[in-house]
Amino acid sequence: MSGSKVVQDMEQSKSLLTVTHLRKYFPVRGGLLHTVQAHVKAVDGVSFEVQRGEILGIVGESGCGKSTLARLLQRLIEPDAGEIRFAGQNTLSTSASAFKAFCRQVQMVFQDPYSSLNPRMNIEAAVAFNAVVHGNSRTTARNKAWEVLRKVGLRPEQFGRRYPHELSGGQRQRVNIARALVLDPTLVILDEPVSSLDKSVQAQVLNLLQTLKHDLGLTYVFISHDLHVIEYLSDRVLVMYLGQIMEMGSAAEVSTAPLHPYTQALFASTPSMNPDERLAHPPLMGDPPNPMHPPSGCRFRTRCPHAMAQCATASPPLLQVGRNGRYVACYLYSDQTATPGPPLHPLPAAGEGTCRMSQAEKEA
Amino acid sequence: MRIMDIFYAFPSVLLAIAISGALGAGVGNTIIALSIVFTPPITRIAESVTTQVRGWEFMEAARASGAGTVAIIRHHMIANVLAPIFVYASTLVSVSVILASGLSFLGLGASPPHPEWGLMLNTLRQSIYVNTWVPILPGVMIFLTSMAFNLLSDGLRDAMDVRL
Repeated sequence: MSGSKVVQDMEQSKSLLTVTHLRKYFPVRGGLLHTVQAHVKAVDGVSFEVQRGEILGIVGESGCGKSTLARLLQRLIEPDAGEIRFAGQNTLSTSASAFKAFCRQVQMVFQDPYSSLNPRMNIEAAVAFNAVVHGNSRTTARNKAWEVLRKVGLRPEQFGRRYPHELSGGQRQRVNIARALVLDPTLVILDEPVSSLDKSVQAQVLNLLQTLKHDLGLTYVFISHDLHVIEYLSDRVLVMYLGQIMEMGSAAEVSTAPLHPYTQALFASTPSMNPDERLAHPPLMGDPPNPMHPPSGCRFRTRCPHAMAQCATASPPLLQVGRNGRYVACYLYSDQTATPGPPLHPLPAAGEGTCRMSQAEKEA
Repeated sequence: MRIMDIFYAFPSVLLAIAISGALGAGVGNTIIALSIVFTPPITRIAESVTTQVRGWEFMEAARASGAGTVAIIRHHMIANVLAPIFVYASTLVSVSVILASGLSFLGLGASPPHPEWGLMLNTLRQSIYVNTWVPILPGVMIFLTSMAFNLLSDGLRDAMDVRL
């Protein structure tokens, strides 16, 4: 144990972002008195780490809490419970200056290139705004904006004075990236940055993101529902379903040998370019359950081909499988981790799927 | 907003007559009455546009930049909210012209010696059998003025839309 503890400590120092037991429930109001009727469990007990310099891909179908997670990481919304540590510091302290300093380090690229740019601000001003907010004079901010616009492949002499409606989707997304990069952040959260672009532009933007990561030494949290994109770009993959982590591991391993039945189904459902490999029927039937009333125990059990009696009673904890930082939340693999039966630790009702690492931290 | 809704519930002409009737005739009172009548629709527009703009993703992006509320309102909100309000307000100018002359016609607006087209319409009403053109002219002028303001507001809308 002590040896692995040392390894964990080393990993701890390497990790840039540590998220523990993060939870966000959105109240659903209704009825005559506008009372809280139920909660949408958008993010429910999510724990993971982002290492410095890596690309962590977060994948899952619509409504699984990916975008909520992105907003929580950027602190655009406050979590109900849990902790986000950035470079060892708890980011959930509330002071305005601390938030501003945090924004210099962590920036986000938004999904919709059309509504994420102010229609009344030209490109140059939109990018420079972030620099002005952080105390740069107008001329320095403009110079910085020009510099970063060049980096994303938009000639500032040509595009600086244009307005968002004069640009194509791909160009707008480049402006979005430029805006995120003008403050020289360490971590960039990319919330489906290419999902509304067509394939050829997607490839351009993805390659641009890779070049920028290389040149500027960035760390990405890349959120997408497109498995091809995730596989292409990320070093590690985190699979989410209904607000919980189902599987986590290196991109190569998860894509070639998915362990969790949900991940298996997800990868099996990606269309192949080979017409002989057409799917006769979809690997998964039905829709994800309502996040207001998720099924008891494992969230995936209602659609899982391997569902057992055990799955209905308690949610399987996210446990390490093997040695390569592979985590799975499924009872099918619980015997391999030498912790059979019910979860290791009775966690608070909120934080169910959790890493073993954080458990070790607790014990320490 | 609820108080505005109460004012909104009255027909604008009736509300204007009631207010200027209560305040008495005079140019100043007409202005007060019309201002009260047209405040609720402007407030409505302001509220709905603000709610709409607040929902756009660039507002979230602005918050993610670490900008304070004042800076976000100044740089991202004001221009986007004011433009539609301004355009709507300019359409209300022509409505106000008609309403104001209506009030004067009823003797609730401007009173002599102030020259006013509505007032002229009323006083020249009798002469329609002597010379038809005399009472028609003030009416035509009211029509032309309000038409001109309508066209102006169309122009403003086009000028203020960044997409055009």
